[in-house]
Amino acid sequence: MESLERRNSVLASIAEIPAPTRRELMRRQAWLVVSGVLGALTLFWVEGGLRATGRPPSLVAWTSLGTSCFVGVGMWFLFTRTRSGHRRGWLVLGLATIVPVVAFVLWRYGLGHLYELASPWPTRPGYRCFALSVATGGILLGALLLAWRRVDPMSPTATGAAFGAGAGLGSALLIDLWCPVSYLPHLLVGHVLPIALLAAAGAAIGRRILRTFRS
Amino acid sequence: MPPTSERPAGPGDPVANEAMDRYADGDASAFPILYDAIAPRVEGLVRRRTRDASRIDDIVQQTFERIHRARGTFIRGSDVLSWAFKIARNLCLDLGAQGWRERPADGKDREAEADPIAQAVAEVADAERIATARETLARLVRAFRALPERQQLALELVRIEGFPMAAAAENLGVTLPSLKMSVFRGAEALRNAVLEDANPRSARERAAQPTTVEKEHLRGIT
Repeated sequence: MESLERRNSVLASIAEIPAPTRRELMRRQAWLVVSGVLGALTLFWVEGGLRATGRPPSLVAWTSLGTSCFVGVGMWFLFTRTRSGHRRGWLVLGLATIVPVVAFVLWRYGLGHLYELASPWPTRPGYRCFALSVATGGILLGALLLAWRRVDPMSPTATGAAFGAGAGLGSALLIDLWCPVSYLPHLLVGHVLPIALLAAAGAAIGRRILRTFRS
Repeated sequence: MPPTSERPAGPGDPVANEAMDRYADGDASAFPILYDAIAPRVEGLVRRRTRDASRIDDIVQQTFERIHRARGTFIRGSDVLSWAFKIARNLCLDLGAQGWRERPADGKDREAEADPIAQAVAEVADAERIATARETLARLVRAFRALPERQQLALELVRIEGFPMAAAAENLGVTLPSLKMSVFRGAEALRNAVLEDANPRSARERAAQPTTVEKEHLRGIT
């Protein structure tokens, strides 16, 4: 095909493909993300919201403060892109998930130990926390995937995984306010496993719905 | 004159980036400017990865369609060529257009003709020098094809397309030291392969002494 012919073909083709402009996309994303966050918060409050359940207020405050910092840093790396507009590499995305999770577990377990609240709690294996984490994180993830649907031409799988991990970290922050248990196996099942699950789900779903398709 | 015959944009080209910015904001008249600025470079990249003409056109077209679809996500002030290259490269992978091994045996001459180095050489009226240059080019192409994929990509972006090291590393999703190492090793392998064919002894001697550029790369790595 001659270059002029191809140029005309490309111009004709894109005229038929709908594509949101920056402003349209931003509006769509803002609306969906705010809805997702409100949906997750609503579910959180329906399930009881902030619960001290025998925890001293200072312990709640310290754990939440630390978790907020770890989650914030992780989310920044997971949700932002590089200056060139590329999603960060798998190594950075992995570190942005694992480091905050490890820091969160150590922080939570360490503070629980300090307040003598990290003793075994066999009646709380972490299934309720797991369910609530997946539910709140799932709402956030769904909103993020819908907001970015069909606009990632380069790395939809990585973007989906980043969104999943970010949503998981966000839900971990909420569950941290809700759950009084600092027993290590409980933390792993109820607080960490959902993050891994949401990241995997994000990668699998993102690969399908974030990529741009040819019309 | 076809619009794509104008001088193509390089990395960080302000005309292309400004056109993409305007297009992302909804200015449809900016798309032809963007196309004219980057299409030859995108085509060059795709051509190096496949020889099937119908595939080249298809991949270039799809690259621009994807740019169009994702225009709203383009970060203001970022480099559109880097973006386009990554999309085109992913498309080549998706469509199985890793062409080095698929090229027909008789494609060597066409390849040399399409190469700007070969075109420049062809303008020289010295038949012997043309023959020598063609031989060297053929050796270079063979050696390039034999390089690992990672070194090919690194050399392609840094040495052929002129991307700054940091931008190329970001584009390929590797660390800067890793990219520098790939470029250095790739260039060294190419130089040795070409010199080995021409003069095995001098190649071995030369391989023992890195050039100034390579010393610079090594300094950057260490």
